[in-house]
Amino acid sequence: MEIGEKIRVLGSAAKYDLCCSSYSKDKAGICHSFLPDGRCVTLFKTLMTNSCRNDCKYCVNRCNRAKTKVEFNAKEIADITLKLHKQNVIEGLFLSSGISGDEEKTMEDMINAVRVLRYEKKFKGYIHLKIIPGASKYLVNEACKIADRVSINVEACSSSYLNEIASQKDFKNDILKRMLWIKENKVRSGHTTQFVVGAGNETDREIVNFLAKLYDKADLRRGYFSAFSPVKQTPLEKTPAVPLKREARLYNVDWLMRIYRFKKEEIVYNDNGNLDLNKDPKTAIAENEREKYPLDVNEADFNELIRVPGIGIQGAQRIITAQKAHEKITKWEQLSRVGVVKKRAMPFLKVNGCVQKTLGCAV
Amino acid sequence: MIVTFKNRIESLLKCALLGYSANYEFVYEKNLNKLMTGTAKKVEGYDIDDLILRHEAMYKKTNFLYNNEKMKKLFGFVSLARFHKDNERFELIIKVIRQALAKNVDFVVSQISKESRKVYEMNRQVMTEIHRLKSFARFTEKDKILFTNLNFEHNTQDIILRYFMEKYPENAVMISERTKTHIGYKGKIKTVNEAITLNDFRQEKNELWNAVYDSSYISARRNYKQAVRFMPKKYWNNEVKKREGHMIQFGIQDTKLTQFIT
Repeated sequence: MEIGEKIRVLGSAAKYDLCCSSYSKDKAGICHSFLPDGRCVTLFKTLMTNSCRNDCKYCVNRCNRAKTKVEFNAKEIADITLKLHKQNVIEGLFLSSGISGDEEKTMEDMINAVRVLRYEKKFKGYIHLKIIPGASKYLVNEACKIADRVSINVEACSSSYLNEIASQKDFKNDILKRMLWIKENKVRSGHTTQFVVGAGNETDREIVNFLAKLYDKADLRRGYFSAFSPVKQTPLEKTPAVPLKREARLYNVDWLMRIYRFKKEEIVYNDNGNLDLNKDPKTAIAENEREKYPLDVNEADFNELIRVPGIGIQGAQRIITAQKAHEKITKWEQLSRVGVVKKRAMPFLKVNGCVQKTLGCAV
Repeated sequence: MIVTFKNRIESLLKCALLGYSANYEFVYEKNLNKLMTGTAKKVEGYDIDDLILRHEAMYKKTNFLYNNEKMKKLFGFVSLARFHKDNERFELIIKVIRQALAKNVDFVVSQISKESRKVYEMNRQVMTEIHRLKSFARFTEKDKILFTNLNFEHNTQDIILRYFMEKYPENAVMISERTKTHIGYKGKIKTVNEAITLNDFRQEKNELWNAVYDSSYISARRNYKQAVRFMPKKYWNNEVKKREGHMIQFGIQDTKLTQFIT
């Protein structure tokens, strides 16, 4: 099979793995192109092989699904990555694999491919390596040494939910234990994980609580969410796709917890334990704490400001610097100038003693 | 008295701060003639270190000048604006520095004044150009030489060339623009006053990249709204869109993207 065709087959098999932005400690990744699905292309994302012994119900590579079996060797992966990197169409490599023989052999092949790229071809770009569930501690350590970032997918938020969709994987031993080994290694750009949202019956509350636990105990850099989308010739092919909005809301909450330091207990859910798809989680939290508002924009501190819907980290920083310079914000227009989304922030702020509870109605 | 200074922004800031605290006037040396008109009587040039020593001897250290955090903040705010195409950029930067001295660095950084807002926008425009060129430059390799053709709106040639030299240390990097070609290899930079359009470097049809791009797209997640947020629709490559029915793709050699970047 020609190289181009191999890329098409193995790239298509790897595309559902979304946890691969190329952010490193030193610098943010660069987007070299954009896809019609709104994502950007920063890495050459591929599998070593699409042949897999596992029978995960949601997966495009599951063993019982008819497909052309294709595999790359280490040299092919290194050559393609280097060529694309020199054209400046990618920043690096994202390498994952189906488990063709046993976990050890698969993980070893992947590490070997990265070694060829790093040491023989002297590649200095970014490498994200997937850890195969069940791989030995030695190989996990090796992977952590050689890659910029590693990840192992938890897929679900508990052992029972994982059993529903991927019965061959042991949640605690194959995944969580490996995650703790990764934590010990302190990988350059940290480690990440991914949830398949909606393949099981888990609620958003369960996902968010489990993710918060991973941030706390496993030193996770960030979690990714992939809304379940049915694949033909799988047991879940007739299960309806999960709306992308649910995925987006989970990302909103994840952002609130990681960047804005909201606590998991503060997140507002509906009676079913899911997030409201039609309301921004930050607004829902602010409305839940109505007694704290309106805030005087010239007196509020940074931690209070970032909790206001429509005010981001930068906007809050600018307001604080204006406060330090003894410059009073007296008009709503000034807030727009420092990057505040006026429409969303208005009901929660007091400017010049005035509160605008609804648009066009100053109180 | 006028203090002139070299084109490093750190020197500009130090001179401006020293000049202010010692009641000096200060100008950027390249704009000297323009600024001198009608106001300056005498010009003196100083070595910056010498100036600092003189200042220390006369006025002792000032907190503002030696406050690294504030210097860094101000430096970050104006540093890229000096590469902007606007001829008035240095006058604006100086105005902003004066405001920082008269009021506070925070006053400038929070963009309350018109001038600081303008400098912030200039800074952003340059930053955007740097980001786009880093992202969308497409290189062709031949004999260890990486070649690309770019259009620069601001004066960012040096930054871009150095970035790619660092990224590809084993290769020579050639960036050709309208009338010049910049060449960088092993830390050395040379600019030739002619545009190179070597036939040897003509962009080949890139099957590898097309395969990677096509295989990355998940049709079930199609989200034009977000794609358009990243890149306005008018810059989409119609040819590719037509071919695939739904694909969009960008490259610096695309006519439409060239318009976008310039």
